[in-house]
Amino acid sequence: MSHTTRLSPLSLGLNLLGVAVVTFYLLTSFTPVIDLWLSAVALIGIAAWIAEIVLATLNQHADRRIRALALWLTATCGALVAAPTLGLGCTLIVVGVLRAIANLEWPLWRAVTLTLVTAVIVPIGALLATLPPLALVAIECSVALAALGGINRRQFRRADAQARALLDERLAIREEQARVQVLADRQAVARDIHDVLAHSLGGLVLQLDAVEALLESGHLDDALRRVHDARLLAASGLADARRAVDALRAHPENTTALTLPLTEVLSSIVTLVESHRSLGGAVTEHLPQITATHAVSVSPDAAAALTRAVQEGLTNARKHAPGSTIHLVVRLAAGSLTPTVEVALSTALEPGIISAPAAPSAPAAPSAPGRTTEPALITAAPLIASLQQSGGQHGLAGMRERFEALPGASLSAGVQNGHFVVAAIVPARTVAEPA
Amino acid sequence: MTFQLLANAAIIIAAVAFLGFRQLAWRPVVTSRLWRLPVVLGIIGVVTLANASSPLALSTLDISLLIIEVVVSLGVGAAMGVIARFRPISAADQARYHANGKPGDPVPNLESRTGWVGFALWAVFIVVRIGLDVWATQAGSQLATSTAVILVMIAANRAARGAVVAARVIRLEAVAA
Repeated sequence: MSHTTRLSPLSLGLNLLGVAVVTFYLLTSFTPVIDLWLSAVALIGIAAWIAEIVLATLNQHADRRIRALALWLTATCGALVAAPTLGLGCTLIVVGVLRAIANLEWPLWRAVTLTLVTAVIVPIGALLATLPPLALVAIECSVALAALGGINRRQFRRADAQARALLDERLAIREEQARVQVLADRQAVARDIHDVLAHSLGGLVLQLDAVEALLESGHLDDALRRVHDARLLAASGLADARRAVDALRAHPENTTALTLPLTEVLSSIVTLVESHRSLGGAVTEHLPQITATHAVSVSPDAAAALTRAVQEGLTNARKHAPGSTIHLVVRLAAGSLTPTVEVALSTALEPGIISAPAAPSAPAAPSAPGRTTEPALITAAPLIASLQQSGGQHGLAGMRERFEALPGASLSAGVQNGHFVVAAIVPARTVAEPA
Repeated sequence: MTFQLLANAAIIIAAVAFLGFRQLAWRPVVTSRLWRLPVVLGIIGVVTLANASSPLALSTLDISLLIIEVVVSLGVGAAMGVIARFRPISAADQARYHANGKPGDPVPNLESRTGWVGFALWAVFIVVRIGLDVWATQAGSQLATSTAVILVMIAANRAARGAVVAARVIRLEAVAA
């Protein structure tokens, strides 16, 4: 806070002018008539004044105690000689008291103590000289005025300091907001990378494993078919990655307003199902018939969330329940307040996997409107744990984050009647409805 | 030994007993009442002072002593406010204050006392006062020895203490909140 105590050039000039005037009048008018020691006291006060100015100008970080001592000397010496010099010492009082009170680096009580001490010394000085009573009152009034001026300046400086502190705080908050935004963006990128790369690379590993086994056993035709499938999977993964990058690069305002027809989402899901089948998985799907008169659309975020949920469910099924048949149901629920799209993915589990105590699972967004027939799902801790050990926690966490960010959407994942069930609901919009 | 000095002595003894008791006992802090005593004493003191002597008749010595005494009173009062200890009032005491007080009165949350140090400060204050009295009588000042000045001094003392206590209570409540 040293900026508040630094002397401006104007202030420095006025102080030096004051020093010159007071010294001139002291030496020419009063030194010849007052006691020598009183002149010496006045000169000490002036010297302290000069010292304080020099310290405040040259070295802002000068020892605070030395500067405080200088102001104390200025004010008290001035108080003692104020009456004998018929008020000339008031200048020193005003300088010392005002600057001491105005300085935010010093506690107010010390400055007030200085003011009181000064007020007591003035009448002591008055008893040393012959002074009219009203003159004494006038000098004391100068002490009071100096104190008031000091308080005024102190409050001004404090308001200034508070304004600066507020500005600093606001900047810090903005920086923090920017940091949080960057973190959120990074999480979104991590989610997308996981969804796209983990799916396609995981599928590729499976395909290549199969190719290796087929080559070793001499089934060249089958191996070639697998390589072809693997190439398709890689190409689809690359396309997914490009789409994800495009979506990340797109300006948010340009994307949030748009909606995607449900048919596009369904075709993405069908592609995923075909890709799963090519990897040797079995899927039975039940998809709704979308006609031109009953077009339904969802937001791009909801579309991405649904597609990623199906993708993650299929990948996890391949990893943790290989050979099981997956039942995929996509359903339109138009009867409730808001039409919704519901996707349920159910995988039969080996009997040994389920051993956890039954507990109801919490949907990702409990307040989601339009939830119609939510099954009472049961979490299976060992299964979740096995997912987590295999890196699946990124996928599950990513799924949950996506659905939590969507208004009106919900997601639940857990075990029900020996099946691992992923149930996702997103709000939809019907377009081109007859008026 | 004038009548004035005897009257002073009687007031001082009564004040010592009363204030000594108040320094050692825990008393509730009601910030709105901190100013009641100094204002009443101050008004009585100033009015008495104004009636007793014309301002034009005051000498430089009178004014000097008055200023010194008032400033010393302010200093001692501020010191008392600084050394005062605070503690929260128990629920039972608070209910008692509430029952004894008039409806609408603020219920205190804190009580304070200054203890023996506060009592010693009062002693210093009184000794300074007596010393100045004696010296002023010898120096020829009549005003400084008047009973009105004592009232003004006590008012200044209480006012300074009240200001410091009020500031500390506000800070305490801000910290507690």
